[in-house]
Amino acid sequence: MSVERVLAAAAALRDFTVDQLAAFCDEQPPAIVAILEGARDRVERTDGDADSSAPRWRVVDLDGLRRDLAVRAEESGFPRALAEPRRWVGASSSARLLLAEQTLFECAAAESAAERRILVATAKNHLRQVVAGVLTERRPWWSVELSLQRLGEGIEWYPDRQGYTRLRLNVALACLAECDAAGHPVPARDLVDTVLRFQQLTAVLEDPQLRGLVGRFFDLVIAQLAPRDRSSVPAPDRLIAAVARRRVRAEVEHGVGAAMQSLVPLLKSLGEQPGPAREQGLYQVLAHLPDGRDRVVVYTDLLQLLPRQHTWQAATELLPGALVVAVTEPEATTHLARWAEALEHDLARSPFGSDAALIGQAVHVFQDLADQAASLDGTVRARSDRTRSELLTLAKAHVWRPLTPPPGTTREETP
Amino acid sequence: MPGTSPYTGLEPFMWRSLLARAAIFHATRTRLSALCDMSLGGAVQGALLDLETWARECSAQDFDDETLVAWVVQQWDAALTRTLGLQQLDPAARDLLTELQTLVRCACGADPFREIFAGISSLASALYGSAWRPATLWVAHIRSHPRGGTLPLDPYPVTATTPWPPDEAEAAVELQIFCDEFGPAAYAAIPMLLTHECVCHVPARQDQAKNDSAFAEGFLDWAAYFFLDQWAGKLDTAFAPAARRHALELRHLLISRPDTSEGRARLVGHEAAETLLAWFENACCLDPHESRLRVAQLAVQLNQVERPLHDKDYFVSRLGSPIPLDLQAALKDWEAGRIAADILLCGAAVGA
Repeated sequence: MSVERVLAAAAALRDFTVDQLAAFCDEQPPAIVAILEGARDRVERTDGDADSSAPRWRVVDLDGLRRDLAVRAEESGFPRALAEPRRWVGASSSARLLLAEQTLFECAAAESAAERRILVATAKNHLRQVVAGVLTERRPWWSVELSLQRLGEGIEWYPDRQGYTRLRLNVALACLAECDAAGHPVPARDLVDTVLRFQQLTAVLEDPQLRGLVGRFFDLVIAQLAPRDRSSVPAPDRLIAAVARRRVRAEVEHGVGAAMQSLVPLLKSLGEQPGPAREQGLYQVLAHLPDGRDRVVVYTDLLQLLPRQHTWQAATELLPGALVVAVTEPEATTHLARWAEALEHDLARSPFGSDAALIGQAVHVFQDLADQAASLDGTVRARSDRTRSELLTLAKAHVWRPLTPPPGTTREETP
Repeated sequence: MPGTSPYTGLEPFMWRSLLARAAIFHATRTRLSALCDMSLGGAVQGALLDLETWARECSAQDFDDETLVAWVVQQWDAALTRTLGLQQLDPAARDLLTELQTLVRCACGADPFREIFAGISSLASALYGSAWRPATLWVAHIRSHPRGGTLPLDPYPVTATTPWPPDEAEAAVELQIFCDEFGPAAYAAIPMLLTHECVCHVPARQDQAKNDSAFAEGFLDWAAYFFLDQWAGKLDTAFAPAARRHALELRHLLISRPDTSEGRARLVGHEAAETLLAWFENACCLDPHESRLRVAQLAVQLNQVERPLHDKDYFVSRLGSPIPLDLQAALKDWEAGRIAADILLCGAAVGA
């Protein structure tokens, strides 16, 4: 076999030193030289332009060399058959799916749009191959379309429910990450449709093994809600939107079903208009009720500062986890108005660009407000501590890291 | 001369314990596969336990390497004589132990790890030419099995790494051994581990190292197996059968672990290489061996291209069956020598 191996290596390398050829075959240099010398009509030494200590050889008749190899193979009695790629059936598909997932997770840490694009493209190639493997109609993997709109189509026969859900989530992740890397916003209605379709799979999504993946799906959906041009959104509005996004994301750790329920109104509220509270600020009186109480829209966390003696009732949640319509007593109304004004005043002078810093700034203001309210009710401080602690956790939470904005726009910076 | 360790960070007593066994395995390398096959019971298992006991015993002695190996050989030889003196001994075990007793008397105190590494790095240097980085071997002790495995299921408590980024002038390859479970199978797997490091990582030109890279840990690893198959006989004819066999068994073990990111990368990368191999045979009508050579050659060339590892992983992700038409055209150009590997890589990335 050595002659065949040496000649095949020569055919592959075409221009080589004997040491290079030796690295590609199982023969030692002296035997290689002898074999090459015996194939003088197919290979030749090119000493003229080479270092004499390492003479070069080159193939002068590649077709002839290959014909020689074919004759030798025929003589050895092994007929050529059409080659089939070796497959590790079953394991390969699930490995590819998990490799795609890993690659998509890497996107979050990637620094540039180009890097994210290549990672998403890599993941999509793996996903297409997985999908092509379960389609009833055979087609080239690279012609498989992966889109939010056609999510799950044709893969109903995936062998297991968890794998099917995992594949759908990864396809959704890839599509969202692709839009994110390209700077193409996904229409809010498409996001809502996608979430509604996943709501039907909530029982499977609660599987702890899928929790990380579901979290990343939330990250990417929520990243679509971050304002493209931060400078045009007033700081109080940014605070409310940031708190809402992060509270809904945090819900995933407690239960996917509830988090999915909150995600739809969040998308509807923030999807089309990134500044939800532009009309209301952190606080606004909607109506004075006949019983003397007021109907107000208020930033949810301010309610935690109210002394116990000032009762209030939540009516509707305008923005999950951040903005609520409440019915309040006049004294409560007065406190809320004053605190909202203090917070807005402080935020208006905010030098911070990131959501995390903005939330941190609000936490400091809350500390001052709680100190004032504590003179009216000793329990305020404990409630305020809980709220501030939760807000700080939200501020530190990992979010999908947005890319550096293209020139002329401003996007969220690293939290 | 008192015993020292040739490897910084490997305590002399640990080195002595390792060398005592490695020298014996090296001397008996022609029968290493049989030793592994029969090591799970009876007299052969007992003989290996004896060897381990004497290796531990000598590790506490302040011997130089030659004295150490001579002493262990003497003790094990005597233990084998006692075992062979037993009336009721399986004939196959008796034959093997008799052969081992003869072979072990040739054991010497030379460092077998360094010898294996020198041969592999010399061949890898010829493979990579000017892109090769000179490499130094370090041997280190680890406190547990690298994959958390247990002996009968995973008898390879060894691994190797090339710290990243390698020094431009000299790379370091660290062979890590869990000494408590170091046996004949682990020794036989060392050529493959070092070939992987020398083919895949020492000369690599990219921005990062990633254990879950389908290119670096999978596609290139396929090439490393190809090269070990070519090199094993040249490195050491006597060791070649055991080195080849345990390389394959280690591959099977690593590929059948899609629960780890390394296992997934390996499986997907190997599958990509097999797809390309079949394509060279079918689409370019190359002889099966030439096809293998072309895949290995492309892997080596891509490893030298100064491009981000993500680009190389993307290229591997496109090697699914059937290969996309634009990539087939580019591969045909590469095969015909019309474009270089870096152009092939750039072209493949256009679709991203």
